[in-house]
Amino acid sequence: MAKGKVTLQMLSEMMANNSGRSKSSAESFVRTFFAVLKDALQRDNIVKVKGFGTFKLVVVSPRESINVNNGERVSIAGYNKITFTPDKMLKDRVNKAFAQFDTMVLEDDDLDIVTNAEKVEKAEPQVSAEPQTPVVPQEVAEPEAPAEEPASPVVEDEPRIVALKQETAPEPEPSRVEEKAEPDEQPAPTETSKEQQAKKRTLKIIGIVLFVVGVLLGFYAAISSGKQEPEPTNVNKADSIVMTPEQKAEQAALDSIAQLRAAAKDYEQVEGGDMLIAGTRTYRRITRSHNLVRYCMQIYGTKKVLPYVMKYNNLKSEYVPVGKDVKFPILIEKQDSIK
Amino acid sequence: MSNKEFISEVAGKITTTPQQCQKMVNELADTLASVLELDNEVVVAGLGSFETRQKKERVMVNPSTGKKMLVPPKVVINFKMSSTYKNKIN
Repeated sequence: MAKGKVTLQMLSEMMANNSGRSKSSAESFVRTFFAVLKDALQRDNIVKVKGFGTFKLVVVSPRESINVNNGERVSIAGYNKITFTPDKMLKDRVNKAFAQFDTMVLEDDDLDIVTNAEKVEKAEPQVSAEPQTPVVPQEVAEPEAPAEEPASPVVEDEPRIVALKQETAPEPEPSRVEEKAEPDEQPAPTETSKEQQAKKRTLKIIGIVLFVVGVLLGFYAAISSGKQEPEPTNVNKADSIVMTPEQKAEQAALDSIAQLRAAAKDYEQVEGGDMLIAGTRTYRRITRSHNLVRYCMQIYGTKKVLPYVMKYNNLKSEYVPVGKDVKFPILIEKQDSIK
Repeated sequence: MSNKEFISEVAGKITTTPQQCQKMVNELADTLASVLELDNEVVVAGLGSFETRQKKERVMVNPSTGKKMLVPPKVVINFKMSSTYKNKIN
């Protein structure tokens, strides 16, 4: 979230622009507003401003607490604080994005969401940092969503190769997704002991990470030549770019390859290379975070294709300046190396 | 201090009518809302700052019906005292 700091002066300037008043009158108003507010709070302990909200001076009583590091009892002294409850208009303006949602009754079959949300809720006072907890309930509620994101760019990158492969590639995925999703949720309802909460949460996070990795591996497995084993085996990444020879090439697949071989004649090839360049596969722009090598890994799964990419782009070096658009070739094995 | 008293006090200090003053308060609230909508924070020197905070969805039990309910996520406005003010009132 980008939190820009707006000063009183900026605020009064904006107010002047919005209302058509002079900058000086707006500024003097804003200053007086907060000066009177501060003063009144000291006198009256509560100030209600219609259209804005209510400012209240609240006394917090001293309480006992535990020092997190050594478990010792600590007493926190009492103090005064100011609370602000915004008026309806202000509240609604800020909550516009979530205004459509309403509280709803939870039925018993939503138990998983309930128990997990309860666990998150109970864990919240112990864990002060916000970032950790959002991951858990969102991930449990939609186990498929984050998994699909890393998968889809992979699919987009290799449309031709996937088209050649056809068949069972997509099928192992959904079943695997379901398999992985279930073990994530099963442990949650059976354990309710508070003492095991931290353990449960780490296990859940590990489970989610494994699940995402499993889906990614599954895609690699589907694309690679080892299709007899639909399980997420650790596929040799070099295999993903070597296509037809190891596969049970169906007629259509063979024909497409033959077409590409014919097309390959139009392109300048790498001397002594194992593979042929047969057209453009995709384009990428070099950025500070993604260099040529990184894109090769992303697209082909290996750095071994570098010489081909360099040849295809007439590059002398693998170090390409940021901002340059690079085209990535379709690569097919040379005829001689078919086994 | 009620709204009426507050408005009349401010109006007295900058010499306008209470009606004008209330109008200006609404305009100020509107401007504040626009700033906060865009995830910024408004700092009032010597008092504190207004910022937005995201609240996650949570499960609660409706005390009257006893049913479990799901409260949706929301964005709320949070006022945080500045350290100088904190010291002043403590």
